[in-house]
Amino acid sequence: MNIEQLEQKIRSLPLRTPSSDLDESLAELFHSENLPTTSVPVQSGSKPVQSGTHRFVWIAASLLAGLVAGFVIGSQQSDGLSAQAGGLSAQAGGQPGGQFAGSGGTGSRGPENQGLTGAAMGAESLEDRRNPTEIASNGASTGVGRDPQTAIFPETGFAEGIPTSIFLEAEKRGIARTAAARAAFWQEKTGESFDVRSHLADGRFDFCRLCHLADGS
Amino acid sequence: MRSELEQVYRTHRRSLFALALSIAGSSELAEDAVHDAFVRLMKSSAVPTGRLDSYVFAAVRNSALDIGRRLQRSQSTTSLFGEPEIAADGEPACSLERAEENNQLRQAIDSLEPASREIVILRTFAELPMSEISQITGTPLKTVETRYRRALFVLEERLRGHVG
Repeated sequence: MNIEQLEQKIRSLPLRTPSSDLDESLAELFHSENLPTTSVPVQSGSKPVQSGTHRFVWIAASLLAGLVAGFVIGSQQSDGLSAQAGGLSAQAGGQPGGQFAGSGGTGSRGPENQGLTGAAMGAESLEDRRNPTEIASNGASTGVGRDPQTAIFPETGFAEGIPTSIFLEAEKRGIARTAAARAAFWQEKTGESFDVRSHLADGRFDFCRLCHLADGS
Repeated sequence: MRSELEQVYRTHRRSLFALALSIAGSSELAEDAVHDAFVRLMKSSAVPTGRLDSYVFAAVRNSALDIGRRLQRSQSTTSLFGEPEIAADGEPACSLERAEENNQLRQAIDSLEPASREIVILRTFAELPMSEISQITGTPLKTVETRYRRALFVLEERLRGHVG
């Protein structure tokens, strides 16, 4: 067999095909008006997206919104503000992962706020859909003297605020398409070890469960 | 640049993925690498002076190396190849003996050392000239040529062993 024949034989082998998820996310990239330079690239009113990155971003945005709702409610006990925060939570709830908006908020504030946040989330006042970017920015601006990102999951004992800020940064840099990539990025940022197979049983990675729950894996 | 990049992806989709897979070690990470590379290319203001496809292959390779380094992976654990094609009548598209030979060849390529494997991918599947492969991999041309020849020799030996 000469070289050409062998090359021909190699070429005839079917290479593994990338998943349609990659095709779709790249098609989206090639045809999008704006490159993914923001944390939350999806515009309001657009159809729910299925890619890992966007699913993750929605979960992260929802968590932030839920947390802000928890802070506002817990600190000021203001019905007006509750409704406003609830609207934001409910708005996030319209997207994949939004179901976790309330749990993020209540988890960070304790049981006394569960009812309020849950009710706010269930309000589902979706008429006033706004750009999800506003959710995060409004959330930060309506905070009560605390940076929302510094209070995520304090009950886990995990370094407060690291997960979401790191994962959002990963998304910003366009390397957050899968859990594995986010995990690698997290490992790089924190210097801590990460075992893909056992991380769901590891209390430090409670954050990851939300994504797994969202896609049923 | 955007439409050209899309064209490169459409033309070389499988080869780009194979290159990334060969370095990153899993399909998931390989897809991340390809995606990451295109995001970077789209954001970049640099204009490639040579062939765009080579430029993209280099970007994907760098991205895969980056991800592989982060997870301390250097060996491919997922085969570069998909399932054998099935003909319309449900029978394998080739004879049993040919299928076995192809299987041997696949395994042989999968088990090549990474530096040789990526050259085989770039040469046979992406059909890039050796000079481009030299630039993409940052390896002297003579070394690329030698590695390629040696890789083909190894593959042929494996096949001959199977036939013999």
